[in-house]
Amino acid sequence: MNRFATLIWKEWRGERRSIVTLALAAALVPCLGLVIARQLVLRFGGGRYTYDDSTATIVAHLALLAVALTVGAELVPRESHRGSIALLRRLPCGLLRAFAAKLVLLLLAASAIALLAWLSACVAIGATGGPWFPRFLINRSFIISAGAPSLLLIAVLGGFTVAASTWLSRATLALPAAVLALALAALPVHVITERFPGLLLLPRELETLLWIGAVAAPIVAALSFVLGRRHGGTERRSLAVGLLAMLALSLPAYGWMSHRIAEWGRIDPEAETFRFTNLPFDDAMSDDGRFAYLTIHHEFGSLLGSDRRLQRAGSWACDGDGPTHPLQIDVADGSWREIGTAGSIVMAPKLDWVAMPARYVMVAPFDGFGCELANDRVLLDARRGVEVAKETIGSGRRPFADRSERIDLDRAYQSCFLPDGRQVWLHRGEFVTETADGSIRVLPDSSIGGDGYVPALGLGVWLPKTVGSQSVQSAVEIYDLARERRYPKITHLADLRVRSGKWIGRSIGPRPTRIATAPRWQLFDPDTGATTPAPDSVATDELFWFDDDGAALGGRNDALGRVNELFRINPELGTRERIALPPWLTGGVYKISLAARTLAGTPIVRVVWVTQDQSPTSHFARWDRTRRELRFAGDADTPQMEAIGCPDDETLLAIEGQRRLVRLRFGSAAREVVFPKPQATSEAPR
Amino acid sequence: MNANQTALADRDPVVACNSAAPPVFAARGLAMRFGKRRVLDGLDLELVPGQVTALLGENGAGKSTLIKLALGVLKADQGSLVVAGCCPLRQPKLLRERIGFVPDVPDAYPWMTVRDLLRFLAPHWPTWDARLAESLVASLRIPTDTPFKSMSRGEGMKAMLAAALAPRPALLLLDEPFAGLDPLVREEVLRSVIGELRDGERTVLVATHDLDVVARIADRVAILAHGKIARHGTLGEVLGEKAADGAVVAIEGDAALALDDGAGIGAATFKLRDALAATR
Repeated sequence: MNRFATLIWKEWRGERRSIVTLALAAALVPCLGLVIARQLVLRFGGGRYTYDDSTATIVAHLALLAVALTVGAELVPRESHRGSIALLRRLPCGLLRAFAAKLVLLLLAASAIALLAWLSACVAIGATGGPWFPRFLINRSFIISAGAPSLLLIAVLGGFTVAASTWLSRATLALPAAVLALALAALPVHVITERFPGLLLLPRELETLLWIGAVAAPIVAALSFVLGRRHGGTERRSLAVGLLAMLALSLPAYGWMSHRIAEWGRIDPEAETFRFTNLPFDDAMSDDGRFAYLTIHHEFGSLLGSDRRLQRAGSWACDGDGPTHPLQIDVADGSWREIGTAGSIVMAPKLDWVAMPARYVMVAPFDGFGCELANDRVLLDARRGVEVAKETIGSGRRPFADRSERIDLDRAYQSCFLPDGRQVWLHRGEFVTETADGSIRVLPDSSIGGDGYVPALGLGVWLPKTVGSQSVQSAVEIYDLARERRYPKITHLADLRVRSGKWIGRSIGPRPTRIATAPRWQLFDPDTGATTPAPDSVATDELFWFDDDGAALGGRNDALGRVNELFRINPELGTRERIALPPWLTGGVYKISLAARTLAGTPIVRVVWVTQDQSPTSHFARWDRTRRELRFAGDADTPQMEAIGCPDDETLLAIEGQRRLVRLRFGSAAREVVFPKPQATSEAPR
Repeated sequence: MNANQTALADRDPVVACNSAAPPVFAARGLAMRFGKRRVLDGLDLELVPGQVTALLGENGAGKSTLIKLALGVLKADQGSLVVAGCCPLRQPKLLRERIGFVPDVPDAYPWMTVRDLLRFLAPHWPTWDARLAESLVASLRIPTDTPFKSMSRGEGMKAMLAAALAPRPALLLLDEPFAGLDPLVREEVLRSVIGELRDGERTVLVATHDLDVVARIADRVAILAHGKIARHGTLGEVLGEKAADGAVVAIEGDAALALDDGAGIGAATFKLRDALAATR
C-alpha cells in the first residue's frame, strides 16, 4: 500500500463498525419501512397509496445525511478522544493528507450507503405495486436529482457538520454547531434582504450559494483541521481558523451584497436603466407649476441574470427591478432632490387618475423590515418641498384632524367640477364642496364608508350601500354630486354616466343574454326613474367623454370602430357641433378621456387615435369649451406620454418614454426636456 | 555555526536551517510560552552526535515541550532550532522522516495490532527497515496480533520503541518513556531501550526525571530549569560542577529536581551520584 492508501485503510479500520452498521440499516430499513408503512396506510388509511421515483431519491438523500451526521461527525473528535491525533501529527505526510483520507472514506461510504438505500427503496416500491427497479435503473431521475437543491443542502449541511466536528470535542454537538455557524454566515444576507427586499435571493442565486457552500464546506473543514491542529493546536484554534475561513469565503458574497446595497440607494438619471414608475398615482405637480414630484426606479441585474425580483416587495415599494425613489424636480432648471429614502414613493391618489396641480403632496416612506410602505405618511408643501405634517394610517386610525393642508391635499387629487364651476372632492370619507363664502360643506349622505377612493361616473360616483351607519361593501349605489343624493344601482343601462340633467347610458338587451343588436343611448331621469331614448341623430354615436356641462365629445363610428369626424354632442337635444382635428390626425379617433385639469379646472383630454399603419397612439389636448376647440400639444411626431399636470393653461408637463420629463405647449409641436438635464444638480434627501 | 550565524539565527530561524553543516540537534535562544506561562526562555542546547543525552527537569520544566518543538508539532515563539539537519517548521516532512519518537504513552489506535501499526507506518518512512522492525518485535517479545487496547502499557511502549527504531532514524527522541510504569515493567522496557541503544551510533535525546534511567543509559545530561539549560555535560561534569551563574542543582528524590539559587550546596544530596554509583 502507498501512503494515502494506508491512511484510507486506517480510516476504514477505525470507522468500519459504524459504516457496516449504517450499510445494513440502509439495506433493510427503507425496504421494510416502506412496505410496512404502505400496509399501515392501506389498513388504517383506507386509501390507495403508491410510491414513486421521488420516494427512492428521498430515501437516498436521507441516507447521505445520516452518513454525514454520524460517520462524518465522528472522524475528527474520535481522533481527539483516542489521543491518536498526536500520531497523525508525527506522520511525515502531514495533516492535510490525513484529512483528505478521512474525506475520501466519508465520500465512498456515503455514496455506497446512499446507493444501498436507494436500491432498497426501489425494491420496496416494486414489491408494493410500483415499477420494479430495472425500470428505475434506466430512469434518469436519480441522476438528474444529483444537482437538486436538496442534495446540495445535504452537501452543505453534511460538509459543515464535518467542519464543525473539528471545532468540538464531542461529535454530538457538530450538527448544532454547523447550523449555528451557517446561520451566522447567513445572518448578514438575511438582514440585508429583510432591509432591502429587492435584494432577495432568487432561486438560481440561492442554488449558486448552495453550490459555493458545498464546495466551501470541505475547504473550511480541511483548514480547520490542518491549520487548527498543527503545532499542538486544539479545538479552540480549529474553531477560530474555521470561522475565519468561513468569513473569508463569505467575503465575496458580502462584497457583492454591499455593492448591491450601494446600487439600491443610487440615483443616476442618465443611467440606461433609469425609469419613472408607471403608476398613475406616483406623481404630482405643485400648484405654482414649479416642482414636479415623481417616483423613479432603476433596475439592477441579479447575479445570474436580470430576473425580476418582486417576490416580497410590494408593487409600490419596489416597482421593477430596483427600489423606488421619490424625487422633487425643479422644472425651471431640471435640478432634483430625493425627498425620501429608497423604496419610498410619491403618493398622489387621483379620482379617475386625473392629474391636478397640488398645494400639498404626500410621500409614503418605505418600511424595509416590513417590506412594505410604512404607516407614516409625510405631507410636503408642494411649493417648497418641505414637510408640514405627518399622519399615520391603518389600524382604524383616521388620517389627520381636519387640517387645512389635508383638505387642500384631498382637493388637489379630485378632479370633479360641477356645471357651476364648484369643485367637489373627497375628504375624510365624505364628499365636500366649497361654498361661496369659502367654507367647506359636506355633501349630505355622501359617506363612502371608509378612507378609500371610489370610481367616478362623470358627475357621480359609485358608493357602497349604507344601512344605517354601516356600509355594505357588496352592494353599491350611485351618488349624484350635483343633486347631492344617492340613487339605486341602475341595471338596465351600460356605460352609465352621471351628468347634469339626465343621466345617460347604453341600452342593453333583455335577459339572459343582454346583448343588444344595436346599442343605443338612453336618457335616464334618476328622480322619476323614466328612461327615454336619445334623439336618433345621436343615439348610435360614440360618446367618448362628457364635459362638466353635460355635452359629450364623440362622433359616428366607422366600420372599424373609429371616429373620423369629431363632434360636440348634446345627447338630450341631439345637436352636434363639429370639432376641428389637426391634419396629421389621420387614422380616426379611438378614445377620448379626461387626463388632467389646470388649476382653474380646464380639462385636458387624452385623444387616442390610430395612425395610418393601424398602430394606436395618443396626444393630449386642452378642451376649450367656449371656443369649441381642442388644442393639441405636440404633433404627429410627438411620442406617447403620461400627463403630470398643467402649470398654466398653455403648458403641459408630461413623461416621455418613462425616461424624460418634458414641457409641451398646447397648439405647438415644440417640446422641451426638463429632466434629466446633464448640468442639473442634485441634493441629498433631507 | 559561527558567532555571527548564531546571532543571526537568534533573530531568523532560516539562517540556522541554511547553515552548511547542520548539527543533529541545535537549539538557540528557544522560547515558548503557553498563555502567560513561559515554559522555555532562551534555551540553548546542542547534542553531541552518537551519544545519549538525558534531559532532566522537574514536572512542567519544558522537557516534553522541547521534544515536541524538535518534532515540529509545536512552534517556538522565538529562537532557532535545527534537528537532524532540518528546520522543523520549514522541512517538517524531511524532519519527521529522520526522527524516531517514543511518546510517554502509546498513542497508536486502540484497534491496531503491532502488525497493523508497522504496516500503517512503513510507507511513510522511506528508510523503513521491515526486517529490522520484525527483528525488534521478536527481540522485544511484543505480541503481534494483540490490539493496543488489550496490551499492557509496557508492551505498548516496546511496540512504540520498535516503530520508532524501524526507520533507522538519525535522531531518537524519547519523551519520558518510563514514567508511570510499574517497576517490573519499567525495568523490562528500560532493558529493551538499553539493548537497542547499545550500538552507540545513534543520537538520542531522552526526557526523563528518573535518575536511575539517566544513570543507566545517558552519556550526557542536560538539566532544564526555568526555561533554560542550567547544566549540560557528561555525567561527571554535571555532578562535579556548579552552573555558570552560581546556581546549584539539588536533586531531591528520583522524581524531583529543583534549581536552588541559594548559596552553597556542599551538603546537597546528589542522589544522582548515588544512583550512578549503584549502577556502575
